[in-house]
Amino acid sequence: MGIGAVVFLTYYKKWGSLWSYMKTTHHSKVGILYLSAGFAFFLRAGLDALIIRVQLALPQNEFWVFQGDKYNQMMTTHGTTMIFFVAMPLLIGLMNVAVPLQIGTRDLAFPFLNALSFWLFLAGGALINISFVLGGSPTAGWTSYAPLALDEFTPATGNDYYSLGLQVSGIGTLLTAINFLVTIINKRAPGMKLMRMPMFTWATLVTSILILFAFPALTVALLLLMFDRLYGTSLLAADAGNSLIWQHLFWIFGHPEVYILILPAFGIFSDVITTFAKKRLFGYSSMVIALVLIGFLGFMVWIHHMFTVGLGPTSNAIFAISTMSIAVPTGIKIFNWLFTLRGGVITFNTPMLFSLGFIPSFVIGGITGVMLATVPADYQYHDSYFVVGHFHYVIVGGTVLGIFAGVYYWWPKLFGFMLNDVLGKWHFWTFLIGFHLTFFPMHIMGLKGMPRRVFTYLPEDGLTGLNFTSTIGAFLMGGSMMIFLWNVYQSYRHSPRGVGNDPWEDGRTIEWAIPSPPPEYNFARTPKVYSNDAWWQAKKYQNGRLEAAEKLTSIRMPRDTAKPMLIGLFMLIGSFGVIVEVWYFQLIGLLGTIGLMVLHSFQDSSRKIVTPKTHPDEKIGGEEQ
Amino acid sequence: MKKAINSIATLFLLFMTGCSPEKWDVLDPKSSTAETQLSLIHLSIALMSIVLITVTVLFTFFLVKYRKRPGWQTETKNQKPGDKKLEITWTLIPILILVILAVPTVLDTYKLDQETKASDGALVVKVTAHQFWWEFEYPEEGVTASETLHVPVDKKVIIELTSADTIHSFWVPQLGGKQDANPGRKNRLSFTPNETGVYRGSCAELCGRGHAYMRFHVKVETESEFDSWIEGMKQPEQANLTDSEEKGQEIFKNQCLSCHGTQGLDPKVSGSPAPHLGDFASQKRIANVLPNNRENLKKWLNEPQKVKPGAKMPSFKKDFTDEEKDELIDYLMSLKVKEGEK
Ligand code: HEM
Ligand SMILES: [Cu+2]
Repeated sequence: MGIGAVVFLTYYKKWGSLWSYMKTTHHSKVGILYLSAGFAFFLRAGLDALIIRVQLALPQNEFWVFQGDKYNQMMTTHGTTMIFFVAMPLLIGLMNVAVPLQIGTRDLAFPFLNALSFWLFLAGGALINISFVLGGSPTAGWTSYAPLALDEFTPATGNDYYSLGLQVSGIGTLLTAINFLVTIINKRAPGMKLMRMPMFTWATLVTSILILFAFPALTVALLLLMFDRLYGTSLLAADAGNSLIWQHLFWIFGHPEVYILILPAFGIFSDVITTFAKKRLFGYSSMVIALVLIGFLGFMVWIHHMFTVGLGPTSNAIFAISTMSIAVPTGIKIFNWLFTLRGGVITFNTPMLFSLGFIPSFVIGGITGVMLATVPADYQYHDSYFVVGHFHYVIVGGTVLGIFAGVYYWWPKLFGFMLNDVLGKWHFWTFLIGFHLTFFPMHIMGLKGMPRRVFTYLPEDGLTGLNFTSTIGAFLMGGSMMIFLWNVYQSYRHSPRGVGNDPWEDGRTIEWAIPSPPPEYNFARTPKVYSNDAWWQAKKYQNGRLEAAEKLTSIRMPRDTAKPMLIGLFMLIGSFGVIVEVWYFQLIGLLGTIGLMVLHSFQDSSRKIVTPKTHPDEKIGGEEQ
Repeated sequence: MKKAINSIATLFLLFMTGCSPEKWDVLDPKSSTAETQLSLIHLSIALMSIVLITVTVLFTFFLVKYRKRPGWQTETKNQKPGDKKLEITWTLIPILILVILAVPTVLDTYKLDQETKASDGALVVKVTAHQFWWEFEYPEEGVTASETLHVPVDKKVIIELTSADTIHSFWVPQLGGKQDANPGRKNRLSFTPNETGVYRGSCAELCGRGHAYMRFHVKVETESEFDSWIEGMKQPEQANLTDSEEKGQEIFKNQCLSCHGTQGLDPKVSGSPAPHLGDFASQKRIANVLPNNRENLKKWLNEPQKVKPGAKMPSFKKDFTDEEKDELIDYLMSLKVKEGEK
């Protein structure tokens, strides 16, 4: 794939533009960086998934070398990558692309920090991928439980890469959250009250708060793990320390994490469904309340991952009830979406299909979630394939469908051309069918006794047919990703350019009031907002024009700089030095990082754009031009 | 033609279900505990189906009714911001459903916990999980076994769980849900089996390289069978070994006894670094992987790592001649509990 990229870049003479991306601090370019890197990791982790599924297709199969540790490496890399380097960055990419436009601002509050977040994420992802080549990937699952993950039981360096890779990318994620919080609180267009914000922006706000509270728990957990592994402490060891501390810290982070993955998708679905049903969102305020409530409850339920640990019936019962209660706000959201469809005029194009496919798929994931909360029954489900089925229904049937809906939806805003709708529909249907074929049988496998994270099973287990079906489904999903890639290529070659401001024609939020792609500063004049769905209202009642809140003046925009990328590089070198215990790598990393930070604090990173011209297409104006 | 279809159908069924009588199906409980758990599973599936069906029906209905048709309306006047009554309805009904589910959940959680605490004449078995095998100790009876847990039917069993290394999880789907085996801590789990038979169990928590093969069997037998098995486990091995078995025993003493016990040579009531081989010849599988026969046993002695990744047994490929291996195998195959007199 790397070679392919090099050939492509050289052939199309794109090295220059690659460089311009590498030193960008502009939100939509950073968004594109997140989307491309996330997608590359998606291909890697998807390949891992296919390898897993081939190994499991038949009982006592010996596919290549993927038994024992090698299987555990694949399984761990798959899970870790999908959660931290696929789902999160793709969502953050979409936030970067859409949120500033949705709230009518020129960029995030801290553009330099935004670029830095990206490069830290990439450095972390690179570490996890390097491990595969040097000494083997981590093997203890994405949850990396102690004491298995300690060097007493896993001496190979894989888990060191896990702890440092996630630490570095986690810092990036935390910075992103702060950035979006400040941006959304401070930089909204005049008149855009909180209760007038588009749902995706709302979801981003709540998600950022979750990250702010959840990630420090992960940071601490990873520090303990790193100390135990690299500096000989035994904080998490069974006898000298306490291995349950890891589970608590991990899930205090880990449960909110799954809401971090799903809430932004909820936001995307709300925006897409209202657009293509041509209706305003049913129950906007209850949608917002539900979002906040889900976010809050997300912190109250982590013990449901630990029902079998033996914490006692009282703790289990309390957490069972708090877990079930999340179904209430989630149910409110589902019914509000359904009633948004009622009485609408529904267009079935690709982003809408992905959003509609989400509803029944996610409901299945949701009800199995409630089933998992019934403690005594969970003693049966826990750590079985039932759970693997459940969380893929939620993550793939929720987050991944949401990401595709968002990518198809905002693609024209990013690039000025549409993705092909026919190929898009092929992509959708093969993906959806493959998805159900892969993951539905897993619930039954779990009930038939198949434990999770096993590299094989026996012929007499009665699991062959189900596993084989699941593998077929996985390949169908793999194929559907190829259709998506083909679609991107085809559309890049052949789709008509210059699609105009509002290519879907039914846009409701203000990102559809400016050209696609927007000029660097987005809005030449910041618009005034008087209602929800401001752009829709403007089209109906204000001759298709948003009122401008200011005169044309000169604008300051952040300067391009390679410093964020270099800091990411130094962090990579430094962390690598920690893992392989080479002191001068550590020193280089440390000095480089600190040096660049000091340097940065002495430089003015903004430049001036002298009075922008209003774009002929821009639909913001009013009395004075 | 009909015949062909029939045989394809049979093949398909075999393919789908496997073909062994002994299962590990959650949906086919054989103990009080597993029955309690299954009834909750049924209740939750029933309640949740109501939700799924409601959503699916509304979803399909709205999509069909309000899809955009050519030459039809392009816009809707229906821009209602919401409807308080409806929204309250779909807040309250789910709460009601969840209450119906939560009450038995909480009650059963306490009930199962109570059962593990009340020892009232129950059989207590200390189970220690090791990477990657299970040790079953009967403290009252003074017996240790591996691979197969023997328990009498219709009698309450309390499993006292712990681990010698990483976290494992004890799971016999037909007898009851899992509990973690944590190093340095004790957990309890109990069930009363109500039908004789052999049930499969496994480790459910990722515990390292050999996790997939960390399995075991539970043999539920009549009280008298169980008692005579215990008796047999306490008997030293019979003296009348054949020549070759005797030679094998000698080799075993020198090379294997440091880790493995057998009743005759070392009954080892607890704390063995490797499975107890007292009842080896009646095991179904070697190391839970290969069907138990001479050929496979040789394979295992030669390359334990290859048969079961992560196994902590060294290879004896080079240590013995073929003849010695045969003698050793003869001896191992003689290790079968001779039922005690009753
Ligand atoms: C092509 C689609 C996919 C297939 C075929 C697939 C398959 C699997 C399988 C078979 C496992 C279980 C491994 C085991 O228990 O031994 C697994 C685990 C997992 N998958 Fe996926 N998966 C896919 C997509 C995804 C996506 C999109 C995500 C998240 C964004 C994801 C997240 C996870 C996680 C977190 C685990 C748990 C890993 C662990 O236990 O440590 N998967 N996947
Ligand atoms: Cu285990």
